[in-house]
Amino acid sequence: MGKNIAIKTARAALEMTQQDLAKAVGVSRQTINAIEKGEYNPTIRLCRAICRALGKSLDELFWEDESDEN
Amino acid sequence: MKTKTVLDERQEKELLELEHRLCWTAYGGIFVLLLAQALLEAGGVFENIPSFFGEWLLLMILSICGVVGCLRRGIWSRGFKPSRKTNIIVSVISAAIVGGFMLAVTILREMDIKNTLILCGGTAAVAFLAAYVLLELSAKKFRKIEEKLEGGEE
Repeated sequence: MGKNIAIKTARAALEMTQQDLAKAVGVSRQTINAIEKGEYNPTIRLCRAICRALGKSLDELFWEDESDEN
Repeated sequence: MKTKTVLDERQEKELLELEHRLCWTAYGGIFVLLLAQALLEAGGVFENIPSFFGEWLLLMILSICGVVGCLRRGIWSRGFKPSRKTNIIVSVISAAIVGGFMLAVTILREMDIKNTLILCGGTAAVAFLAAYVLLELSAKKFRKIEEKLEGGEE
């Protein structure tokens, strides 16, 4: 699982820290950090919450090319 | 049945993985203990050690591994965050269990009322203090670890 740069980019565009995003979606900062590092696969529910908080679609934040899945 | 939890989905997954590992270790440990105890009894070795020593040792090892594992992951409990109030409640429950156990022992040994009260009260008080001190120390350690994990590098 590769790093999720899209979330980091979207977060930075809104000047949100990981802590801000974590609070917005109701998880710990470590969880957001783990998602961005590609160390944790969130549930679809959390994916949708992150998309709503960042104003992006699921595809924009979580779509992976086949090469990224290894 | 859905129970209240203060953990997020990733922490819940980590706790489940830890519990899974501890459960299989317990299963394997009990199996090894059964074999070891059977052999030791057959060999007449360590006759003065209580028969439940092995199980107690396994329980202590698993408990310590569980506590350390949770603290390292920044997890206190599924249901609540550490606080003085919950530490007192848990310590009172521990004291009640220990006091209740000693009461059963004194009844079985047919001890007199005075000695029963001293023994049960004394052990319950010690259990309360020990549990409370350990919980407060663990909570202090937990808050440090949580601060470090939550305040870490982005």
